[in-house]
Amino acid sequence: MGLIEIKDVSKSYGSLKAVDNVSLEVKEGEIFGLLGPNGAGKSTLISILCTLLPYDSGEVLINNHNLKKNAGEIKRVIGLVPQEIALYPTLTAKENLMFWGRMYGIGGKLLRERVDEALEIAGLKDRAGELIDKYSGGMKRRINIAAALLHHPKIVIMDEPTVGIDPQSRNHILETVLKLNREGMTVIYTSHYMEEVEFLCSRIAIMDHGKVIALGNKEELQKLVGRKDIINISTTGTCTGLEGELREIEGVLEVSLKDGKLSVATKSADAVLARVISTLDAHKCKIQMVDIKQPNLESVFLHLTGRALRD
Amino acid sequence: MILNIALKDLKVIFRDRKALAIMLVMPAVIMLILGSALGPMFESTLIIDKFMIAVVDKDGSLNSQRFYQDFLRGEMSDMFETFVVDEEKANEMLRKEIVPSIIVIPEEFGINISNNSPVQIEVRSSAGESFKTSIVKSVAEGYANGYSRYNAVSVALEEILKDKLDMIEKPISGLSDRDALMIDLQGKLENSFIDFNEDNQEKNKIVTGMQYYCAGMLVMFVLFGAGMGVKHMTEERENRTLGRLMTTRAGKASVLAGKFLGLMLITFTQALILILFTAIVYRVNWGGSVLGVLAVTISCTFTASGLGMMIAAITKTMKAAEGISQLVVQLFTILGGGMIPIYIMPDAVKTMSKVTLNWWAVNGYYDLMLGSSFVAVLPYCAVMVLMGILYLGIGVTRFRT
Repeated sequence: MGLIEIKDVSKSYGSLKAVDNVSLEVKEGEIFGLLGPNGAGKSTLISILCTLLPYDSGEVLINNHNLKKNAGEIKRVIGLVPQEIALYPTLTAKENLMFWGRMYGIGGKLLRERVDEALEIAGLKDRAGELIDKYSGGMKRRINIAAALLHHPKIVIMDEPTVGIDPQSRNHILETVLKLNREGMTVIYTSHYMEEVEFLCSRIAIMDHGKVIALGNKEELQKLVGRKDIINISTTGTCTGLEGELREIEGVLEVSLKDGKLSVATKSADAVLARVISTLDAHKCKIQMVDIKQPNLESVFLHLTGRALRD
Repeated sequence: MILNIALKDLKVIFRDRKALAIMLVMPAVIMLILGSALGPMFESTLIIDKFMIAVVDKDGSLNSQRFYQDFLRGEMSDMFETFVVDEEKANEMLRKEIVPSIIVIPEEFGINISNNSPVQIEVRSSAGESFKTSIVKSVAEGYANGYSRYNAVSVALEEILKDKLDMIEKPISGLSDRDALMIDLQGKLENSFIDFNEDNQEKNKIVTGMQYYCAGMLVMFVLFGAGMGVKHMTEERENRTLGRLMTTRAGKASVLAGKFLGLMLITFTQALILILFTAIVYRVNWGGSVLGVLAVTISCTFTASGLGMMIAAITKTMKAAEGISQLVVQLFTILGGGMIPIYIMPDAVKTMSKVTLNWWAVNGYYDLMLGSSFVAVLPYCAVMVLMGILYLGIGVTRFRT
């Protein structure tokens, strides 16, 4: 039995089905990734899990508690890291953490200990007395995460926690997520950045138009596309009528050409790259850039929906 | 948790320098400017020093002596310095503006009183000092009309009761039936208990310009303070701290109660600082009842906070909340008489003013300034609290996180 069980859950806004009959199970101790473009239904699903939104139908069980009947119990085991910096900018980091700790029902000496611990996790103990307003974007994000850990939740839900920050802070956050997970915390992680999801998550659900369109670990998802390399070539000049000729090259599986951007799917890029380039040269197509991609979640999404993840 | 949310809101707003300037510095400056600039206009209508009037007694009867000695030099001695001169001298004094008015007692004054005929007293006034001359006219007309009414009533009563006049006991032999009737009637009226209400008498007074604008601006800026709280509340909705609060153990009820208490703490602290500041620095007399001032202030901040919760609930964005708050503050202040005295407004505005928090709060403060007690302002407080409950009810039912 999973720590989180979502059974046939739906949520509509008027005629728009934001979450459409979704069923998922998140196991204790895993980092579960939710991947999908804007409007896929990730944030709505997260709001439902955090007791912020009522759902229309289905059932949600978290830590064996029914979400509709025992929201109070569920709030004890969940920590939410919102996409926005949900902190008070005119209060210091320490004042913010003290306030959020009190809101989780912690007080006295324990609260002070937990705040120190959270500042340690964020790596900002020496700057605890500064106003949040004075922090960089990355530092704010780190305190935003720390505020969700004060009550030692069993489950942390992170909604795009690395948006708009520097690489150093991003690395710190990713390391923190792994560390928390090693200590036994279950993590639900949503992101636009598939590299982060690939790096962190043991299992991933891909959502689109309110539905889960694929679910599994990275290898299982990649199998959906097959073992294919993608050669992406940017060209100038007239390249019409080229696709047929390229498809005849041995080893080429698929070819698409749109607005001068050529995409060739093949079992092995090394085996066909030279012949593809010579064909382009024969048609006097000027090559601007060549990029070879191994199969990843982006290609899985492209394969499943026909659209890029950031479309 | 409720108190923690409220105290956090108080801390957040008192760290916002712009909000502090609007809530504390700006009202202090505006109170001083309006109170000083427009104060003399109020005071000229209020404090009238004792002034001289000349009396010309053409009658010289016992009744004219009674009017001059008992009434003008007796009952009205706090207001007038009177002296009797001949008509020529009196006219000259009037022309030279030594006196603003002269009172001429006509020759038939005593006879008219005795004969139950209409009684008249002539008042001649100079063109200037219209306020003083209107007082003199009112006093003289009042006295003459009093006699005229007395005479008219006694004639009418005599006519009605003509068959029963002989039954009335005559305390002095030789007294006419009519006089005996009026003495009897007067005795009966004096025995009836007629309570002279001091509070009503106080209402004829008016506050000073500084008092007027301090009370008016205080209520206006309390509403501005609530508006600042509303702005922060909608900002919290936009940056999701409000949503995050809902995921903690503080439920919706605690969050709403905390937000309301926070607004009340903000506006009450602001009002208290402004009242103490104006009392100490501007020497504004807020009245003798500390309990009364606290009651009006708490009721006013309760209602302003309820109104704030309602605006925060019905608006979607921070900009909309700011815009509506400012509109409500200005409309309420103008309608409630915070900028221009309400008694010079048209009747329709006077009626509408009673739907504003400002009218009730400001009038509560004015009554206290004029010496009313804690109990006397309780009706104002009750109306404000009822308004606040209505606003809060709408706010709570429509609040979204």
